[in-house]
Amino acid sequence: MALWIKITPMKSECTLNDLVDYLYNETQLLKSVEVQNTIDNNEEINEIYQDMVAISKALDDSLIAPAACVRESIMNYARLTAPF
Amino acid sequence: MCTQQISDNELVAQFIKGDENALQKLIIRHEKKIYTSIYLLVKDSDLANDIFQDTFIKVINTLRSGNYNEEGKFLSWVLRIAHNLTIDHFRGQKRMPMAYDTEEYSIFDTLPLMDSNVEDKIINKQIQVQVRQLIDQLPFDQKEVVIMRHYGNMSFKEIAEATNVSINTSLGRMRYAIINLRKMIEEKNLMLSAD
Repeated sequence: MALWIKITPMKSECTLNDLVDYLYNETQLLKSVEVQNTIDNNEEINEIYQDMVAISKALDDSLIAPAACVRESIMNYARLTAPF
Repeated sequence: MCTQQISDNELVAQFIKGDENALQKLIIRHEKKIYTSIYLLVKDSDLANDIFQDTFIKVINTLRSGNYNEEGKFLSWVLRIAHNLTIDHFRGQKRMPMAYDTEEYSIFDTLPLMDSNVEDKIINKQIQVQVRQLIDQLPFDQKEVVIMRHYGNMSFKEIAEATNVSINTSLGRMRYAIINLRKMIEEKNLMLSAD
């Protein structure tokens, strides 16, 4: 008796919302595999995802710090109001 | 050598027990994300510094009063306090933040830089300013999601709850924010990195 194995091709579709979810590590494991597969095999999706990664990095790089004296003021407040 | 970072929760517990150094570590760990989130909404560094300070005064008082029960979500909790104080500020002024340009970058900032990669540093600083200006030009709902998700580490579910919309709407707002940022970067012909 011949053994027939039905091979279902990996679904290679994902929405932009899926990519955003994936970018922020919020996809479930199975969905992650599906999205990564789409990114790997679909040039257009790959390009969109790389753009998202670049923008995400730009957002990280644009962080700014408060004035140093503000941190000092907060710490002074914490010390002055510390319960004994 | 293993140098495992102490969790936010442990630092919070240490501070509640009376260790002020733990608070300092928490501030240093998260100050950039919190301050940038405030600054992007108010667009004024003095005001952002004031709200940042008020935020931590509220944090200190709440932690000491024993009313903190966020379990592992310290940054999101602080961000919510900062966000509420920012909204309170604009309610007091009876206006919401408007999109206007402020130039944080000054050519004088670059004068002390004399090393070989001075040009890269200038370009990177310009890029940082431009990225903040681009975020500033996003519609308020998109900017809010960028701040909450990217800087506040809030999940799309938490953002949906905080802003009274569905998860799909908060995801969609983030998607539109990214698409709009991409468009603006193309229109302005910006390079995202000097590397």
